[in-house]
Amino acid sequence: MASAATSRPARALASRPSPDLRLLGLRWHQHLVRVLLFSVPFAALALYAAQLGFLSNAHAHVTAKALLAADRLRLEVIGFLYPPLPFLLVLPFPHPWTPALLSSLAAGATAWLVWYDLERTGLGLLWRMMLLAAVVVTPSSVFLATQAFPDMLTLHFLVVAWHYYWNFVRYQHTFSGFVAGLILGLAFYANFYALLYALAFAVLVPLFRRAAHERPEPREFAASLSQMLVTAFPALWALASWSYINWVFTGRPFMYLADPAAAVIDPDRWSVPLDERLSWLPQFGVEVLSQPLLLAAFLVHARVAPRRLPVLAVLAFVPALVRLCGFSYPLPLVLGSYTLIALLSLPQRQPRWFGPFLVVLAVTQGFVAATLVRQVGEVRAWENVVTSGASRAEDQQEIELASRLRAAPDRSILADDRSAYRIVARAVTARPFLLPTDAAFAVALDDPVSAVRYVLVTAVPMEGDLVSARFAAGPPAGFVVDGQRGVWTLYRRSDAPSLLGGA
Amino acid sequence: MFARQLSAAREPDRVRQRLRLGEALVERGLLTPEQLERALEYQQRTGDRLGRILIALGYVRRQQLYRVLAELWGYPYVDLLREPLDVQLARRFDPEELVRRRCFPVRWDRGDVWVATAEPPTSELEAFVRSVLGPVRVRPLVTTEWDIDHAVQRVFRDVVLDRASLGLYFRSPDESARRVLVGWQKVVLWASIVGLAVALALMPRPTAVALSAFVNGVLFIYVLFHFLVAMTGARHEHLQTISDDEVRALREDELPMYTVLVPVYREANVVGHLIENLRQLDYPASKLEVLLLIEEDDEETLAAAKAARPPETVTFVVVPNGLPKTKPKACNVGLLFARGEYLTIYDAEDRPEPDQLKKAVIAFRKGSPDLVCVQARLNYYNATENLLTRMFTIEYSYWFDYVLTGLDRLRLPIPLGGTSNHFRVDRLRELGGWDPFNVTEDADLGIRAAARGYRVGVIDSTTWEEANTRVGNWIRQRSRWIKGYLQTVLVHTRRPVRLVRTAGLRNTLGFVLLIGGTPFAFLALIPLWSLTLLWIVTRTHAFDALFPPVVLYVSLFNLLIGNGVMMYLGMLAGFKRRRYELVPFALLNPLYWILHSIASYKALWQLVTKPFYWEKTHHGLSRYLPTSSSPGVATES
Repeated sequence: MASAATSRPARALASRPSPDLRLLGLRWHQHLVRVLLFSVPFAALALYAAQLGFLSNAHAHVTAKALLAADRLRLEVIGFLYPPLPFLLVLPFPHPWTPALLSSLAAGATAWLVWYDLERTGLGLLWRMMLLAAVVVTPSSVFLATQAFPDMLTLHFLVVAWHYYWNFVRYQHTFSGFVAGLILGLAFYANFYALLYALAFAVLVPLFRRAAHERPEPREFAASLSQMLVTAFPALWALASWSYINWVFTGRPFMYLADPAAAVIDPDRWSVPLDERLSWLPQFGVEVLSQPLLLAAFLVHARVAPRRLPVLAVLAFVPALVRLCGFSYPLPLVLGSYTLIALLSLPQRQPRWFGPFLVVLAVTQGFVAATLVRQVGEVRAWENVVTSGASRAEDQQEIELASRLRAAPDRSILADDRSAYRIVARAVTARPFLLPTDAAFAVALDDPVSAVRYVLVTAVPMEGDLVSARFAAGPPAGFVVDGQRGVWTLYRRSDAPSLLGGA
Repeated sequence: MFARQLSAAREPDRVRQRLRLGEALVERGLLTPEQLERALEYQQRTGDRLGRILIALGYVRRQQLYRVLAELWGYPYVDLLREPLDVQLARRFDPEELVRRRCFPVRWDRGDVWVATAEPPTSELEAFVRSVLGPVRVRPLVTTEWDIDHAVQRVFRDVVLDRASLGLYFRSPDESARRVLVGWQKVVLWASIVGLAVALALMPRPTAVALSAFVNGVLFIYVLFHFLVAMTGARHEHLQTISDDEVRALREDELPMYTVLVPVYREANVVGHLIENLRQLDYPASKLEVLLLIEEDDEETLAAAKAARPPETVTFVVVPNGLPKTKPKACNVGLLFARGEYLTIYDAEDRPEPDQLKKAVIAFRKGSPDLVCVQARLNYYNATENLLTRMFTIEYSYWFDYVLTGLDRLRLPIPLGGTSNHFRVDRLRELGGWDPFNVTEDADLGIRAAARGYRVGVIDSTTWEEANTRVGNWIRQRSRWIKGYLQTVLVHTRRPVRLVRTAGLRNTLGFVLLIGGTPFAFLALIPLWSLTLLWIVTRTHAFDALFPPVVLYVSLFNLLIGNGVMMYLGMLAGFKRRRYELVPFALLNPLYWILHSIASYKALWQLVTKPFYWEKTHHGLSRYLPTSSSPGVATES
């Protein structure tokens, strides 16, 4: 028989309010005002780039899917688009500008949180401002902030989750654990690698507990395990839910991972054998070593809180781990992650001399990042557009093509949005297009002349583009070339009016 | 017998009256000077009457004290247990009034009315007696308040039974569950059943789709509502409305009289624990009145209670036998005899945290005048006994720590828990006490309070209870709760317009979603999960028609997000209570909800067949009960 003494429950240790708890001291509208203020520069730059005709692939993809769902009034026409959250956020106002503005908002919110944390370091106002500017005003950061909504959204979720997670592991604040878990779960719907961060956060729990307490709690193992479960459960549940939905509708639970449009898997890395992947590690190491701000954070921790060093090391390893697993993790995001990890992990109450030192390091890191991202084609293109103030020719061609196609009758243009998503997004409507999600698509593909008036193909089709694969070489029977714009060719049925003016 | 002393009775001796009670008791050897000194010191601290203090400290027996008081006041003492009572005379008075004034008319003799009193006789007493009997000469006698209570129970047995059982029904039939359905509810119910049957026969597919949409839509709203409430509750978890400093700052002389009702039925084995647990309460014993409510036919418990030799602050109140035989009826009897300014209910096996009564007092003082009740949190001391107790504890932690706190913060109606609800007695009487025909009388009372414009709050104090350890027993208890929820919804929606007008639209929606949504969700669970399971196994397309796109999205949301969130909240609740070992068990919540669903079908069946039947829950089954009890001897409540 169990003893009454041992079974007597412990008195509940309700979390006590602590001034050190993060984000809980401000009300939602106070946060909102600050988020809006910090978002203004990003939004201005995003609109400027949009005015110059620049549209990133990620934004075009999300916008095209949202336009399609809005036009067909059925969510399932988008298939199992992953990640679904950016798409759902764009859906109420599907327009190429929407993801840019939402991304700016997420960036503004992230910048505000970084500022919020810098305030706790005790550095002078000037140094804080310079530090924030140094890390924000870099091509990789600004591109991420204005042209990569899914990545920026995920990053923002991770930063918010980090703050609540800190409250949870540092002060055992249950509500914060609840919010952190939910946000990590939500972040899975914004990007797959959020799951890996959630697992990393869970793994860090025992390290945090060890760093926070000199002596372990009486039930330390159970406490750690339950806290790890609370941290990781929502993200794991989100993974299970999305896989279940995929299985229900397609019979393939992990279909979304392999979808080229989902950008979960990095095709260049995924198929590489494991032993070969290990050879990437030195490259990742060099990448970390070229982040002076991150290295400074390591040094500070080594000096003031050596127990937290393993925590920082694990977090800094996640970007490498994601890529080592073969998942997609773009370079701007890698650099942004390192910068955020460095800034958010800075211990409180730093000496005043530390401010200028950090600013110098941040500027150096900015230069390194700028050099690295120049290798990424889309960032370079964006940078050229923004700095020169001149549109790219291909953007103008897409815009012109889209504006002419917009005038076509409903479902009269046979196209495959695996390639044509940029044109659909530019057209700001999916109405004229007959796309693979439409029931009549298969029939039209076999017999275009009886089903559509136009066929749109590209000379550089994406994988799985059925229309271009079949008709890129020449127009189908009964069609003639209506015109070309860049890599795009429009075929017109012989009896249909010209949309491109025969040029 | 005082009758033999009547001739000897004389006018009050003013000289004797000057002698002080303590000195008189010491003089008679009933009290030592040291005891008197301690009692006086106690009196200085609490400001209470010396007599009550001496009784509470166990220095003198009640009868001894009142005999001395009789001498001091100069009136004869009467033992009402032995004295033949004039029933006809007594029944001309209102029993509640007699209890309140602590007096009882004993005999009427040629214009002289002998009235026993436990208070110093005053002209007010004379006026009261004359207001009922006309111009008579009032002759005071002295007796104990126990004797008065006992005499009232004996003489007014039928009145007490009647008021406890039917008081609310006669006073406000619309608020009583004695009628399961009122006229229009019957019409709507039958019209719905017939309409659904006809629609299914004539247009099976659209009707099935509409039904599916309705069920999934309601569940969707229910899940969102729970999430909102729990989030609000969780957000404020770190805010302590009553701090330990406030409790420490309370002056004992400012504390009011507190009544504790303990309804017991066939719980002989836990009476000893009850007395021990109540002893732990940090409240001046002299200001504590414990009424042990024992059913008339439960001689075993009565004998056990007497054998436990409880302190003098514990009073046995015998609940007259009669239908319905429910806990709320017993509580109504207790309310009739309650003398406290505040009142609470504990089950026999409850272990309230010692400062709970003080926290309740502070909550009432800090609260607005419309605060009629505060609910303490309930949790289980035998959480780790088996899988069922683990699941039950997770559920209770979620309910009391998050949902009720959230409801409180959102100022929505709070369904009271089974015990540890603390009332202002005057307001409770105004509300009509508990509905003995409602098998979750506590939830009903919370909602009734809200419907009358009062507020129920929560306090951050826990009462530890015994979780059900056996599945059959659990289903019995749960089916009663769900039946009670159904009764409560039916009662309070009888006059929907009036409800919205008095409680407000927000409160009404909150009440309907919480109290109505719970049985609905559990009734829907088995059919919906069966469909899902069948589909997974067979991959049939037979159900496709039931789930057009929007319904499908909502249904998937409920299945995936809704269940995930509810499981997660269970985890958090376990974590918040620092019961780490329970956290992983929250993953098994879906299995636990199947038990809820089974119980809800039983509840629905019983609502039709036996609406007022009180499903007995056996207590005292826990292995974690202290060994002084008789383990394995089941009791019921």
